[in-house]
Amino acid sequence: MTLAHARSLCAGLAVRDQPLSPDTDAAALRRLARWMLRYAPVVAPEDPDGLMLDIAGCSHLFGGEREHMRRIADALRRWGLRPRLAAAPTFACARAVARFGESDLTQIEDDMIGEALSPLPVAALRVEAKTVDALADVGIERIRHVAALPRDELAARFGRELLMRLDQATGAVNESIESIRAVRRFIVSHAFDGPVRRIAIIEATTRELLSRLLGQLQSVQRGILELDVELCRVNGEPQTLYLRLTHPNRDHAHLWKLLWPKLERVHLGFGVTNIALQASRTQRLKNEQAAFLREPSSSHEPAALGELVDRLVDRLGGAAVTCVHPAESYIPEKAFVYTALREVAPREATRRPTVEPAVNPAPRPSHLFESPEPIRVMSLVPDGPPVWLEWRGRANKIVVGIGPERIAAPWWARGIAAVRDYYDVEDEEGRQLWVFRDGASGEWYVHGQWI
Amino acid sequence: MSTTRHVNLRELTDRIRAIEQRCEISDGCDEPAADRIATGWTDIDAALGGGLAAGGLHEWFGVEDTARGETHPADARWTPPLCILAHLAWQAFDRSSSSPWVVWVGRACHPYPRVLVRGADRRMLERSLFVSPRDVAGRVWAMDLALRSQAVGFVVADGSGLDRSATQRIQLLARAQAKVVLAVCPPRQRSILSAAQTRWLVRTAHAPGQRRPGEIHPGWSVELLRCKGMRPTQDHPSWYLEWNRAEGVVHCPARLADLAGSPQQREVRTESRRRRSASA
Repeated sequence: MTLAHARSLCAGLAVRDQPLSPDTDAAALRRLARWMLRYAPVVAPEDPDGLMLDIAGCSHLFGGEREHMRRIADALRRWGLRPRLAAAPTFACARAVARFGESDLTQIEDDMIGEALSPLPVAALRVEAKTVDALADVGIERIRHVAALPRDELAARFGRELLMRLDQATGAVNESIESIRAVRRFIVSHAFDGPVRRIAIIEATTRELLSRLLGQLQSVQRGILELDVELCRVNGEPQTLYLRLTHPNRDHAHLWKLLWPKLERVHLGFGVTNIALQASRTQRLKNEQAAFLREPSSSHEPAALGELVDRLVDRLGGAAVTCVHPAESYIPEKAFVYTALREVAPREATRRPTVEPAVNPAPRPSHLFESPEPIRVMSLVPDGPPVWLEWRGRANKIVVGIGPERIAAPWWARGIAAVRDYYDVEDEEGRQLWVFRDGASGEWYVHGQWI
Repeated sequence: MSTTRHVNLRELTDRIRAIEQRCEISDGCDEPAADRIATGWTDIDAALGGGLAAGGLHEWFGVEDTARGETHPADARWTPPLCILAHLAWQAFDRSSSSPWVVWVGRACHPYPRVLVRGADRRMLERSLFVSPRDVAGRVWAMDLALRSQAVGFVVADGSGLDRSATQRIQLLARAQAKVVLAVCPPRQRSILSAAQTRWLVRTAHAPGQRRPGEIHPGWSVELLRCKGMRPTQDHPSWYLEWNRAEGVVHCPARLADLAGSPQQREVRTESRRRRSASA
């Protein structure tokens, strides 16, 4: 039923509009899966709205399987959810019963799998919709009907997937699930006995905390991408410093070079009572063998470039450090895009072939002006190639001219830029210029120079 | 005689031998030395002993573009020789097997990215980092930082406003790191003292000889104003360079001496003569 249909049936209907966002739902499901790790060591999200828990061997910790399930259901209800739970010897059986069974809480013993599955529809086996339709066409709608058919005929007529799903449900074939991993938080903090206003003490403490944080990261071979430093002040809002790195880093000296200028500018107020450092975003670093005399190698290059870009961005700002990519445009000023460098990719990733826009092979000047500069020209024929031009206060005859090369904006963006006829010209002084005649106004401009 | 003394003498002997070998190279051998970056211009490489010194600062004075009526030199516009810079960056890039990053410091020296692509080869474009500091101090700091980075192999910078101490700092660092720094400067900065390894002056110039109709080959005359630590073997330190638009390469087709009648050449010669007489 559409919303308009519902409104027509029920006047004064209150509508709570929540935009559909599959990504947000998936992220929420993964967060819930991580939270459920307190009830089972293996938890796997099953899109769009399911969770698979492997509770084998841990139910006795919660007072038995029944009590375990009840606790999980209560916990989910406290989150405002309406859960349907089933515990079975196989994942596929539990899933089928939870989604298509009659009860909200079902427990299936080892020898009851067949009975539990028999009355359920074929769709409970997780087969494709076209297989379900094909089975329905011949009157097979329940799992017990499928189980009664000869296996070889089933495989030949409806594909091997149906048999595999059936075997997974009955336990004839093992099924494994990939558990979500708990996010490990890397936080270190220090609480002072009283408010501290001496920057030397705060500096020494932060250095020590940073060393401890890096020690934690070293044990799991991870590097910092984002670091938050929170200073709790007396009678004041806590002040937080943020570090954003372009490449995962675990070098104390480098991080301190970035952190110290921010730290020394912090307003301490009446004193700091607590300092906390959190690596809010980390990334795995490549394992490296310790070496006595480390020689520079290509594997260190991304880290070295990351440190360079971090320092440059920290002092000059993100917009001042850019790299260039070709763009899908024939318009000269739009043919390349300068983008701020937010992340330094590992060397292997940069070598991976990627589909990038082609670069126009036509000759282009080495210096393209930020905006075309108007010039005066003379032509032998109207709208013809120029034979004389005056630019920047100097008038010269044109010795050689090549053109025109017509560059036009695409038809869907015609309103932005008019047609331009470009000429490569060389004047008496030896200046090689790239001039064009604007199709809309008829004016001439210099757009670039070979220099 | 102590052991330390003995080691120092041996080092000294090796250095003298290296200098002798370099002189032999400058006498006509085509093989570039290990501590040199071949420019790809045969005459210039021969004169420099194999190419630009791999660890040093090289200043390139851009082309002055004075409008008629402008008398004050500070008002003059100038344009850095971007084609030559791109060519030299490619030369340094090809010399290294590890494809190091090239850092372009200062908006004035950022070329139109098309010149960083040669045919289907986009390595230079992909390995270029463009930095735009706001002031001279920021540029010097960025050059310093880039030179110290292991990932960077080559630095091109806007050298306008660099004083003697700044060039000294960059030159020493470039030598210590064995990296090349190309600094482009306005022509009016020629009178300012500098610690650069070499200094070059670029002017726009016409191609020597008869021009083929319908062809444009941007060309420049480059003059070697200074070459520290080595005496150029050529008497007339000026060359004509030409941009090959199809290949994206700067060639050295012929000596400037061929341009006997061009006014540009007369100007170059007069200036060279004036400088020689001044030094005498």
